Amino acid sequence: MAEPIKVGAAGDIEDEEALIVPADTAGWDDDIAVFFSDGKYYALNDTCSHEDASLGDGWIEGDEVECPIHSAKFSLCTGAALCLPASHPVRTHKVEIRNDEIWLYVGVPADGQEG
Amino acid sequence: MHAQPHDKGVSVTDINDLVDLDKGSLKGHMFTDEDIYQQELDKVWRRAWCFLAHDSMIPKKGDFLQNFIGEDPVLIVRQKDGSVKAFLNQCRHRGMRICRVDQGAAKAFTCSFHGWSYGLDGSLIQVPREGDAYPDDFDKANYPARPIPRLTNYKGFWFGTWDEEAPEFEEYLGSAKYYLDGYIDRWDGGMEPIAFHKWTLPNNWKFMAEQPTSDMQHSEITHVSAGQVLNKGSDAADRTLRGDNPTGRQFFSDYGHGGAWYGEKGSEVPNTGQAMQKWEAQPEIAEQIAKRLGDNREIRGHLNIWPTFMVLGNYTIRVTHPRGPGHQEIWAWTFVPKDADDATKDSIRRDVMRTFTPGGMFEGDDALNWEEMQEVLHGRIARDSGFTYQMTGAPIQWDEGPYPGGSTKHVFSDNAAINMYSNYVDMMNAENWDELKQLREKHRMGKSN
Amino acid sequence: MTDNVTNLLAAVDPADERAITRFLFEEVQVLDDWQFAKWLDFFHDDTMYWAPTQTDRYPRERAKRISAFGTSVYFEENKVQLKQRVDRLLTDQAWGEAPPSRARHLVSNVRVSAGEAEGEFAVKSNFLAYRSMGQRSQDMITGERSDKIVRAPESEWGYLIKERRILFDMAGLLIKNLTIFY
Repeated sequence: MAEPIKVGAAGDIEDEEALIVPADTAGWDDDIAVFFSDGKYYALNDTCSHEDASLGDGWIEGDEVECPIHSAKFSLCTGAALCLPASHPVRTHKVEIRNDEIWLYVGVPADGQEG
Repeated sequence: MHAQPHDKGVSVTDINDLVDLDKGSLKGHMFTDEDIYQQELDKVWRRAWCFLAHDSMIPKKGDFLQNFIGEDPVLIVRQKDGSVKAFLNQCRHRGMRICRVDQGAAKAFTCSFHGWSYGLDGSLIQVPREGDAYPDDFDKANYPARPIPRLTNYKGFWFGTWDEEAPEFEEYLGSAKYYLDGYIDRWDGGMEPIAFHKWTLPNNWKFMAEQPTSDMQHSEITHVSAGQVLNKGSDAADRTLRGDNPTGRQFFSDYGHGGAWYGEKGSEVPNTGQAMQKWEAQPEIAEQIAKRLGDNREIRGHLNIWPTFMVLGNYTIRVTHPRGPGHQEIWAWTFVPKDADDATKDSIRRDVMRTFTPGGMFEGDDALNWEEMQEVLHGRIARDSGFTYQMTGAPIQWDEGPYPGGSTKHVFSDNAAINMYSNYVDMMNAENWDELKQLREKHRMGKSN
Repeated sequence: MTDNVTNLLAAVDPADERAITRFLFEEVQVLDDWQFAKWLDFFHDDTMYWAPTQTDRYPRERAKRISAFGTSVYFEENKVQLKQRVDRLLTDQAWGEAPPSRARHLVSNVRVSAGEAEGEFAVKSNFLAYRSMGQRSQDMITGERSDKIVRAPESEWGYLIKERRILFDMAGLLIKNLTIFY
């Protein structure tokens, strides 16, 4: 398993915003969106499971993100698709705060998830 | 020029048969005829500079407003880099309206028919099933929402035109710039809208255009009931100060703009509420005005920038959108100085609301006039008889004192209306802006060339 | 635990409900009879009569659909200002209403609830205001009134409207003006 990567400092991502880590940087087959909402951090594969759209550019509220293109909603915790037109989940990635720094564990499912 | 045949041999109504400006005569058909109306959508609304939005309406990235140019719905959107773009609110796919709300904040605009999605700038960014249902050479870049190619920000006000050959906005304003600035460029902090009203009326849009261009005189009779109750104990301007034999001036400008105000230079009677006058009388504000405009320019009465961008001294600022030859849709904002105190802002807002909004005590009687004018024009004799513009007694002056362009030393005159229709006819006749400019030179009123 | 309807009915004396309903019917009769000066008798001296506007918004911005007091409004009138509107119509020179329109207000769905204080009532009602004028012109508009009505035994009608908020059922107004009362 690859080492976690530092995404930034706590406070870099504003509430209900996301930072997108390019696929190259993450060493992953998709960009990864790191979300900050209601005091918590989450990370999902950035590409919506419905069509080619960036979830990191979406509407973030509570523990949900809404795709900005066709309005499919996903759980930030589990990556599950919460409504049509999406029917498939997106992968989660674990995020940890250590010493006020945001660390992303690429490919490691968020706590409690199976991937 | 005579009537031109359609492809199918059906006559096209010729505006030149309907207007005789030397006689001051307009035939009613120009306010009722569907063919004239369609020509207007092409020759006027496709060419003129039209108001789209004020900076304060779309302050943050993603903020947008839906407006119209003529009958074309458009979206005006604040971009991520702070600039503004505007485009036709029509999906390039099957013509569905892309955005169906009045205003808001967006990250993209997705058509709810097939899901074609447009960025904040109107570029096509997502087409469902592009990968497998579209050929390899399908390029989204060829199908943006049609951009409005020319946009300009004039002192916070965004105007746009579909016509790439249109002159720059300040050239379009011409001498009207001096007068428009006297309304909208007085204060360092600028202005912002704090109220909005939208309503439809059963009459031709040109009735709305003509009034703030040229018709101060109707107020004394049409609005007699409002004058009686509002002059005292209200937020409105005290119209009794205008006097029995009012002085004042009316201006008109090449591309159809016009306006007027009461009072001689130095003793003007602004069409402005008392709270505004009191706020502006403060030394630091008076100083701002004098610095920005060169003196305490007082020209506030009524004004219209052709086609229908109207400004009144009490800071109702509106446009009207044509809705067929027999209807119009008025969109009216209440503007206040950003730096004014809350009480002043509120007084301005209430004054506009009680005078020039759908429940307004002035507005209702204007609506009545226009509705009856339109109704009577159902009659054939009535259409042939038309309207007359004979109030041209006050001589035209050019560049008189501080007043640029053409004006009359009288607040009541039909000159600005005749000028407005002269520009209108020239627009209807001209093939392009170059030809229009030549026609306006030729037809400039009261000035030998 | 009782149901909502039982609770609502229990909170108000049926006599008040009946009286206030009659009060509202008499109010619009006065309006339809063009007795505008008398219409002012239905309003408290400290009244506020106002009407928000509506716009279409995205679902996430639905809170902005109806305008707030003190922003975009059709009316925001105290008693003096209501009287100005009445006086204007009574000049017989308010040409948009001279000759007068023929209006008919239908008031229904009157629901009287307890107000915040003793003798105060929160009253909701729906209305349809039909109007014809001139030879061919007619329009109608519906809406909802949210009133604060107080018991006022010394007044003409026994009650007074302390606040009225009118919510018209239109965004862009599809009738030409709002020159009568609602």
